[in-house]
Amino acid sequence: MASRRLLSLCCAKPGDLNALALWCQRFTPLTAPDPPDGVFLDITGCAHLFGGEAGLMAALAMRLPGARMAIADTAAAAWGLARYGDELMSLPLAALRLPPETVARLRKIGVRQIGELARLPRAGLVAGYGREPALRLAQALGEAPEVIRFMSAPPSWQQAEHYAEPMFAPAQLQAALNRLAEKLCVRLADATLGALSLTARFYRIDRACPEISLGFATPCRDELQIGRLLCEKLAQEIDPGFGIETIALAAGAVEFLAPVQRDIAGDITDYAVPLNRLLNRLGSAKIWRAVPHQSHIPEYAAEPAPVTQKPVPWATPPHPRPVRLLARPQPITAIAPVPDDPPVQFTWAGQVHRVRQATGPERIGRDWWVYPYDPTRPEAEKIRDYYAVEDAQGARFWLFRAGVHGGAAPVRWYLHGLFG
Amino acid sequence: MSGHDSAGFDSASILVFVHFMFSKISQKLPSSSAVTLCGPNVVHELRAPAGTAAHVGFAVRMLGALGPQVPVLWISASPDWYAPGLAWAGLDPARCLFAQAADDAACLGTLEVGLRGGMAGVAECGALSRLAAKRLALAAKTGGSVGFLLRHAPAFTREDSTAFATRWMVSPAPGGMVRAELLYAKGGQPGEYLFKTVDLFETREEPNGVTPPALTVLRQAG
Repeated sequence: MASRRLLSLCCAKPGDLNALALWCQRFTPLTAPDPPDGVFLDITGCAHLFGGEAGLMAALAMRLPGARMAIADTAAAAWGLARYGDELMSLPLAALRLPPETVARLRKIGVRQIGELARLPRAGLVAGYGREPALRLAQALGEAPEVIRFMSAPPSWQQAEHYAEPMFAPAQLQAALNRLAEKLCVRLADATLGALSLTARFYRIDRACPEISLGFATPCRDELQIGRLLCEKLAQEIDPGFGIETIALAAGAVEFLAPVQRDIAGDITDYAVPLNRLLNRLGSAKIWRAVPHQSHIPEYAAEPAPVTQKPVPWATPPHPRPVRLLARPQPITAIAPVPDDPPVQFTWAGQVHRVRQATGPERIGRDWWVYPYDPTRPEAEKIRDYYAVEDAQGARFWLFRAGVHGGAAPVRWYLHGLFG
Repeated sequence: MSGHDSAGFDSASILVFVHFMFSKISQKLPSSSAVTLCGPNVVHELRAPAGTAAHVGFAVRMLGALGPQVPVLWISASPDWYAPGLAWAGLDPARCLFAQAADDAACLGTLEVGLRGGMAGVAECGALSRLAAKRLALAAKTGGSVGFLLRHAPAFTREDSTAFATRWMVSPAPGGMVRAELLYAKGGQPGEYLFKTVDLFETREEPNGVTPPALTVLRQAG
């Protein structure tokens, strides 16, 4: 097996290392941030794309002025060579990333360079100076493994384009996105797959990497739709800066999507198209469907579910429920006969409503088994008695009384919903 | 959402709907204009006095009378639609999608996307320009869907447009009734209608049954 080739990059002013490592994925799929000031690139099998290792280093040096770099068979060796010199055996011990106190102790016995360290017997080195010097030396020489935490590799469903000249113009970028979408969709169609999420990354020459993320309600491989969604977000989210030299469009999650025949038996409306537009325009948190939840408490009777989920059938509730449920129950002042009659009059937001008709009470208690027992607040205080009332003008409200008469606290009245 | 449902509103459901909404006036109006009034491809504007939700109930009844397959998109800047309440009023919440938009303009834009894509839509907004009304009407026409715009606004404003098929002022009336004033109807006559809502104060015969709504004409202009 051919040996691996690793490039260690050392920047004077690195900024955000994760962003830099992401940007370095332009050259190789395997990159890892290397705190505090560097990035590892596994360039095995990639260098020839950039004119060999020298060409790759020249391309990096051109884009990252002031950066130092070196290529070696192991990450530890590349790290030392990038920072301390050209010949591994003549590098100082600090090139092995040893702590300063270990370096100082080894210096006392006259060991200053890696070559001198390598000549020492390993067993005695471990006994006298701990495992670390021997381990680091073995890692640099390729005798012991070293774990490098690469950033997640680009997914297999990726389509990328490199440009000789950096691009700025929106029209060029839109055309490129449409091209990429078409190529990716052809590949997905061959595999009868559809994308559930897409990411378009724009590798700028000034080592920034903005991206557009798309989500889909159902698996999608419609290049027109994808192109339109990408172009809609392009204007809002992407700043081309000094120019974009690579665009990569990748499908994050894919799912089986059978080929469908459209428009043969009349027009079949595909609601996925508007749904995808809304999902990407509003964001997946701002569009939902309601699914029933097993709770008597009105606020919890419906809960939001993602639109990608199948609709759940609803049963008609046995008691009146309002079409609008206020986000928080509004406190009202009510005049009501004790103990449990509906109010005859109530005041909401400064307006007095005389109740003409009412129905209730519908008593809804708290799910007491969930909460710890609190002797100062008995469960009777948590009871809500709901009334549907109609005022003299005919407007219909859903009110409730919290607590019971003769309890620890006086009863409170709230408006909770409006009937249509 | 399979995408294979038969979409749109078939003619039978339109007839049911016409019968439901305009059973009393359909003898007077030629049938074509009745279909124009309340068929698909149009947007209706429903206004209601502040502090009431009579227009929501009206939209729910109209949507419940339309075909059962079309998904309904509910849009608001501060959504407080209550799915069990929709079920109780006669609209299956499984058909419904709910969206929260940032502001009025985003609400209208969201409704436009939904209508253009063939979904039925209900959006709530404050101000409404004539241009926005025209765009919504065009989107509904393109998508073949029906839209409802809910507003808390007075019956007459300076920006009233004729782009929508109908404009209603819906206010609650005593006795479980709703007074729906037809302010404008494209190709129809304005009038005032009184109909009974889903009754809060009587026990229903069967909880899952649908009571046929009664429609009473109070006064008709012209």
